[in-house]
Amino acid sequence: MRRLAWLLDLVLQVATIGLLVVLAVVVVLGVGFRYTGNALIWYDEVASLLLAWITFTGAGLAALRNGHLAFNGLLYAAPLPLRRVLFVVVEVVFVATFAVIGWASWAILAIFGTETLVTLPDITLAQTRIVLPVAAGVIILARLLTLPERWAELEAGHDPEMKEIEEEIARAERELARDEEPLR
Amino acid sequence: MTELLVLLLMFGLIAIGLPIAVAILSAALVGVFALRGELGFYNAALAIFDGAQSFPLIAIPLFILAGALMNTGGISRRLIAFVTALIGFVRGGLAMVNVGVSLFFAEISGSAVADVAAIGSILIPAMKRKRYKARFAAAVTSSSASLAIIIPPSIPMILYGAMAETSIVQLFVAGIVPGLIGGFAMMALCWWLAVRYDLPREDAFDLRIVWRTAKEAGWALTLPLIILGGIFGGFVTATEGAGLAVVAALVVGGLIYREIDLERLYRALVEGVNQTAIVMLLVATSAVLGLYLTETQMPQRLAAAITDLTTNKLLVLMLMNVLLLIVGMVLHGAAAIILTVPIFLPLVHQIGIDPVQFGLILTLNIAIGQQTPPVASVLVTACSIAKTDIWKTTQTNLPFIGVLLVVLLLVTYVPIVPLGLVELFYR
Repeated sequence: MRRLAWLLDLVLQVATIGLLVVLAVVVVLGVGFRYTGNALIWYDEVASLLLAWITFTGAGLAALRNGHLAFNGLLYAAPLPLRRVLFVVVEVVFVATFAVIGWASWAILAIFGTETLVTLPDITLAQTRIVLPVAAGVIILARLLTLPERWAELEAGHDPEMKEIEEEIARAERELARDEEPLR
Repeated sequence: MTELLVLLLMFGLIAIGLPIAVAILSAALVGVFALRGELGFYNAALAIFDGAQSFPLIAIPLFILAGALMNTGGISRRLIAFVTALIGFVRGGLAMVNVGVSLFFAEISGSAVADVAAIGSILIPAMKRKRYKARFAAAVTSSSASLAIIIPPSIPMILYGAMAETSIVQLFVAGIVPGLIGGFAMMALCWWLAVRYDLPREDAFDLRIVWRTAKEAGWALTLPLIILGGIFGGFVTATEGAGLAVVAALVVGGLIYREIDLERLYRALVEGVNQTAIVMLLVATSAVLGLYLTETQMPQRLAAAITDLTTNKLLVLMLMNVLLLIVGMVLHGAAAIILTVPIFLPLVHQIGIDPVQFGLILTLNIAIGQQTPPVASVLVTACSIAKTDIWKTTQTNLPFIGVLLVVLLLVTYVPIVPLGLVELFYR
């Protein structure tokens, strides 16, 4: 299970980083071409689509890393038996929500038929929107893969928000340690 | 009635620990299904995708990436060293440096926690070494980082601008005067507290050190000029300015300072996509909630109900301030903006509040809310670095929260404070 999570993390990293780099290049190219009087006609449409792709593939990566914003104060203040019940409710709602979105977004792909992007007629809308049902499946898989780890943290009473804060501080301190004397 | 149940369901799911984006989506799905049956799910699938492909929001991943590159490329560190050499000799100077640096760098990377960790881990230990009390160092870091929400470039402002279909550039400009007032007030407070606690004068002013740090920070200083000058000067849009910020951070951090190696670049990219996805999933799912709220006309009916009671702008603003403060206390910044904008905006239009002014009111309320538990991740991060108690820090933080409240009142009741520059240059 851990190996599968590692592999999925790697695949999602490659995909999202690739998309982000392409987006940055497209935006910079867009500015450059506009200033030379040859504005790229596909710039707005492609950049917006790239953002949507980053959102949904990145949402899978964030799910795998338990990064999505949540308010855990009440959950972790509850007694353990209630905490367990709430945990199960949360997981069921999470998976059901993305199952519905995955199914509905897959079902509507057929509606787009042969419609294409306005500025790039070789690309169909269905091709651009397939990312949503795929991402919904990935998000569910990511949630299930992290289930044992999150269950263990719940049992131990480790609030994920404190974990995030500790990790960020440790990261910043590592960065500093690599540098020379920070002040003077 | 159903609308109320849907909202209650959403807050209930958030309260039991479901990720906020997912809670919004599940409650909205229940709502659209109740209205339109299976068709509602199809509409939701369309809305969630469309919600994620908003052109103005492209500035978010790019600013986040630029922020991550600046933090890892030695840019923030050099700026801090330069400002410290410049004003560190004043009594309370290091606290003032903290305020100044936080104003620019906090809220730039999309993760308030990551920003405060990056800035705080340099400045809080330095302050402690200079015999500042740990809780004072934590309070200054935390509250000035929150004020940064209105100082460009700010991810929450971009979010609000895109959701309210309001000019992001005008929002950035509107934040300058109140941001400076708040910043200078906080610096004055630092000086006063330094005198009161009899903190020693720090290092003597040394022109050689100023010169050396200025030379080192020279390129770093051009970055804010390129980014903000380009945007305010009308040469580039906010999105394009964000793209330039990435290039500038890469060139300065990678080629000139040579501190961005492949490993750091990779980590900055991972951080960039991760934070982007977290914020953008909230945006996308809120589009489904927006779809539901539009169909039910609930925000419009709420606005009508409130204006039936009173059309007194001052009173309505006061009511909104109280509600938004409470929202800011229990929800993280991005989530709070995303949830409140669709509900409050019709009321804002109906009673004639400028949407740019409301953007500042909203974000400032949320910033103040972040200074108080239960959701106070910025404060908790600063306290963790300073290794100090949250409640004691909160006591020390009260005067700084007071400054934030005064800025909020100015922004709310003296419209020229946020809108003066906007009127002068853009209208």
